[in-house]
Amino acid sequence: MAAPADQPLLRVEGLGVAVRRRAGALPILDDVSFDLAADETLAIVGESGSGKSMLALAITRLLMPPENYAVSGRVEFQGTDLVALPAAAMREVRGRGMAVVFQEALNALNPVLTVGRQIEETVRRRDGGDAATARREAIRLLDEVGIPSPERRLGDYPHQLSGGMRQRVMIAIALACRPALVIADEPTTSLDVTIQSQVLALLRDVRRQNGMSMIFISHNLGAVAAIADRVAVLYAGHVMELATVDELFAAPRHPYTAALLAATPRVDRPEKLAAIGGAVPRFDELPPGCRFAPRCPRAMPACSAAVPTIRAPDGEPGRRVRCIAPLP
Amino acid sequence: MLRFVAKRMMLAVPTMLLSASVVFFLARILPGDPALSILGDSASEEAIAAMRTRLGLDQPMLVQYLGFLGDLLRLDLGNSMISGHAVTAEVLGVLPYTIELTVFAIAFGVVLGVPIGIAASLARNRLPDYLSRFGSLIGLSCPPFFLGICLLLVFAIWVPLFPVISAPDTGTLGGRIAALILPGVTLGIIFLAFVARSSRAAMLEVLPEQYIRTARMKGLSERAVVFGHACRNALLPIVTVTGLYFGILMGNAVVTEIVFTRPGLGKLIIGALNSRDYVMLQGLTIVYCFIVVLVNLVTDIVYGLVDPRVKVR
Ligand SMILES: Nc1ncnc2c1ncn2[C@@H]1O[C@H](COP(=O)(O)OP(=O)(O)O)[C@@H](O)[C@H]1O
Ligand code: SF4
Ligand SMILES: [Mg+2]
Repeated sequence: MAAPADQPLLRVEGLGVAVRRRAGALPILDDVSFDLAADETLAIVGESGSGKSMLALAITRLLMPPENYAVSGRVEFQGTDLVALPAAAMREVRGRGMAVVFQEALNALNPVLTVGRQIEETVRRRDGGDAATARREAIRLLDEVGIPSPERRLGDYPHQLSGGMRQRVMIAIALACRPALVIADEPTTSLDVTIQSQVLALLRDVRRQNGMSMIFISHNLGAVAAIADRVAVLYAGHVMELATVDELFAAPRHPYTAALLAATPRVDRPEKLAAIGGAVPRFDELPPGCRFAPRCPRAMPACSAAVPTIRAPDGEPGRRVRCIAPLP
Repeated sequence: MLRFVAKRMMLAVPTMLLSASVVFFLARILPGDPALSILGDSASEEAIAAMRTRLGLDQPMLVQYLGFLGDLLRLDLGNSMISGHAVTAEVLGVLPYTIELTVFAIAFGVVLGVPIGIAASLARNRLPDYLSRFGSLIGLSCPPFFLGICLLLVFAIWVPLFPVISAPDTGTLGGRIAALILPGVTLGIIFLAFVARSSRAAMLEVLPEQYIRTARMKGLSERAVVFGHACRNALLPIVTVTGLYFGILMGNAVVTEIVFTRPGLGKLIIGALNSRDYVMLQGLTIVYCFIVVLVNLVTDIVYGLVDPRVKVR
């Protein structure tokens, strides 16, 4: 069922995720909204602990165990709201409509199953078919993600591969789903810098060649600039700014975005993000009003009165900023 | 793989020699003169001296030890001081009964314990989980001789489904297995409880792993996730647990065999203890050590087969 042309592939609307605890629900993600068009790449950036992975897992409904999380809002994928979808229907969406490239391929691959088995089962779950066909497809996928002599790698176990190779296998598994949407959650964080750029280029290429949309999660603005069309800046569970890459890098509107950019040495030289003064607040001790206020150089009393709404800054209808006094 | 097996086997040989040597020296270092304890306090000096000569205890320790090693290499564990028969032959004659009882108990524990543990982990903190945890607790705290007597009372006397005396030599395979059931269950129940607990714990450790999430991400059914991905990893520790428990169960088998009047090492050990047949006791201990080493060897090899991360080179 193809979505009408004017409808985005994915529309996240007012998404909230709270962790259920004995002491009561602890809200993490709050009022997260964005659209993703077909063939588009949206980056989600933010410091560690801001809720990026949780967002990926909430979209794919992979928060486990589900009863520990209270999810509200809508996640409309190809016109269907996933939040309310029955588990069996959700399994049809996963591994078919969407796939995830997880952060640590070493932990995300099953240590006691061969690489071939892990790709082939994905192929067969997607397309049915016999073992020989799945094997051929697995070889083709390994070749597509740039693994040399793929038929000999099929019998390897994850621990026998290098970190970069493992991440390529993880990408091959995601491709085996032939998804409309691939979510890559910090796919290069655990890799050496040289390997990072190779894997990044691979992701960009396979996305383009397969006509997929991508949500690219990262805390590395350099990588984001290289791969994404638009960026959502996440801070303590709130989307603080949503803009195209060009807009964002040219003129950040949110003070947090500005601080992130300032802490990135050079856009074309990916390096670990330097710390911004102060620390990300704990979710059980969130400040009242704007969640960035304790670290914001522009904070004023009004900032703590109420959570700022996210809205378009003057003269930029395509952009969103959650700040009562956006940067000019 | 073959080299891995060969290497493990090479390691097992010195372990066996070492354990046999420890048994040999322990028997000689521990207080108490075997000759005296055989003959009793009222024995005359000459009788004791004669007995020491007969036992070879008058020889220097090194000579005794070299003789012992030489005999060991020929699988000669000496002769029983009571019957005069070769210890090796006597032990090997009844060993199969104890082994089959232990293997039955192990199989009983694994075949029932693993599914129970898996089911409990999947129903965590719901009724099946509570039932299995309560059952495990009872199983673990139930002394085998007590359970054995209860089973005998219920299933052999009140409802005579099984023989009271579990004589395995009824001629038929069916009879042999029937004679195994009550003692096997008695011996295996603790292990069953232990396996159920271990597999539940192992599953609970594996289920939150990231590769389980990957399996779900592929859209696999819950069954494929649990059996294709989780169980494979969760069952690795059960291999080790089973290997460890084999020795423990063989030890416990002694009590079970007595309760059920079964032939086996148990009767031999009790007899040797009562008659202070120290040659027999030494031989039994060495055989027991050898079996533990062999079971460890098998455990290592099986683990190497099921966990690809073990370096098999
Ligand atoms: N079950 C949970 N209980 C309490 N806090 C949780 C739970 N799951 C996630 N969180 C919190 O949610 C926040 C978001 O985590 P995560 O999505 O992993 O961030 P990111 O991927 O951006 O580093 C973290 O601060 C974490 O402490
Ligand atoms: S609302 Fe206030 S505290 Fe928050 S980012 Fe804007 S200026 Fe800073
Ligand atoms: Mg993360």
